[in-house]
Amino acid sequence: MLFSFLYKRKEYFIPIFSISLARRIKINEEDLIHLLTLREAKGFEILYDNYSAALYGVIHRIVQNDAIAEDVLQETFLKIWNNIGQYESAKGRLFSWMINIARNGAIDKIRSKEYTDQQKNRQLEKTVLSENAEMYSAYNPDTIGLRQIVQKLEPEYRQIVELLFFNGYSQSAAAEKLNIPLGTVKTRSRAALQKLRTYFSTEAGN
Amino acid sequence: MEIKEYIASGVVELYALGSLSPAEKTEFDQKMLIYPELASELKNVQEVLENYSLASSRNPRPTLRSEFITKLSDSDQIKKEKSKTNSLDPSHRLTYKYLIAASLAALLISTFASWFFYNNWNDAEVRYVAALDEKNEIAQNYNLIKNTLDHTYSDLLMMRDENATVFMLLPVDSTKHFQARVYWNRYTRETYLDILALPQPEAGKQYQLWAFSEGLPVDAGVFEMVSEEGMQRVKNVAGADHWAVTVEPVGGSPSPSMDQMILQGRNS
Repeated sequence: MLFSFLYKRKEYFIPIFSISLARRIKINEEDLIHLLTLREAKGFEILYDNYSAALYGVIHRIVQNDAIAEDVLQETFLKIWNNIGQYESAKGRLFSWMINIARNGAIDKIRSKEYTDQQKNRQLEKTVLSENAEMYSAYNPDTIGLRQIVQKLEPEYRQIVELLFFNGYSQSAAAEKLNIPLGTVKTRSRAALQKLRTYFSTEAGN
Repeated sequence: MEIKEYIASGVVELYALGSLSPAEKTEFDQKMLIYPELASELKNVQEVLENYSLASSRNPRPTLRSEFITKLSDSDQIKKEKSKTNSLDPSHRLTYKYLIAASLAALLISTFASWFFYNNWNDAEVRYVAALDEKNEIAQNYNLIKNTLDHTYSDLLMMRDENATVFMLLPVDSTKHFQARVYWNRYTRETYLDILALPQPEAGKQYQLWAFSEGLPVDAGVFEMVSEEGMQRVKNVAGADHWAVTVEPVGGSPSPSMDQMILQGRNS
């Protein structure tokens, strides 16, 4: 009873999502930011353990290559690590901020000359990597529920989110690619995200 | 433009998707400072995109974690683990300071705890002794009450016995207010005397109870004037139809001094 205050810190790890479909991330954003500003190894380990699968997934999806994805992941963590002081919670969520760093890093990579050159050797590399790749790069089983929800989304909606978010298309580039008016890009992406929001919240309510 | 229309136009989604032009993005950032509902709408949309991104989660190569950490600490991006060999390292000395402070605090706490528990123990000891005394007193009281009750109960049983006969002994000199009662059980022959009103006998004298059966006196024993209320048992008597109390020299007499008779009585 005298020392019971020592145990109070157990509440440290709480899910960050109100939609707690994904149980992978188990640290409160404020706690994580505080840990990162301390710049101790522990903070990095927690950052890595909580976010590596999510960020690696995003990057891999864009660059489609294990080695490049690993490079980009490292750059991403370095940027998060060094720029945590620039994150402003008023301008959006922390995890989104990290995803954007990963996504922008990956998109920059596929547009670089280095990547285009590597793509020439890709066929060869792919055969070497693929055997190992299947062993550890399997999709994270914690997120099966999320994948099922995403797959419910109609193709036209999925397409617009993929182009804008994962391929970094501008609105006009997307309009051109899909052969639709520019205004439709806006309305369609809004409709897509609203659909997803309903799906996620109904699934989470179950 | 109304903020609701602005939100409905899909600009929040495009912002979250990262697809706004730099000019549009600046406009959005400025509006977000003015309209809090814009920021909360953005967070809602971001949460959806976070879940969407999580759907493609993929575990990186397991060894990658330690590779990253090694690279980070090699490039001094991470605070080094505190050196265990260099005791002059200020951060190390600080650790010792904390340790010393912690152990002093622990000592203080344990001293306080000892004092506290010693006091508690003392207090408990005193109260235990007091409780023990009280218990003994209660036990004594109980025994006393039980004795009285037993006595009263046996008296009551004796009086209620179907073989019991009651004799009321009244004064021979009717001006006096002497009185006594005899309970005689004709089956067990037990005899009890209940003194209701009698003065102390003169010095050297003693009262003696007599039973008369068909005119013949039988000694039922001398008796003392007991202070407590209650019955006293006297000698067993084989038969009686009439009782008397006489004043006799101490130790009693073999036959009653009829002129010294102060109480007599028949079956009432």
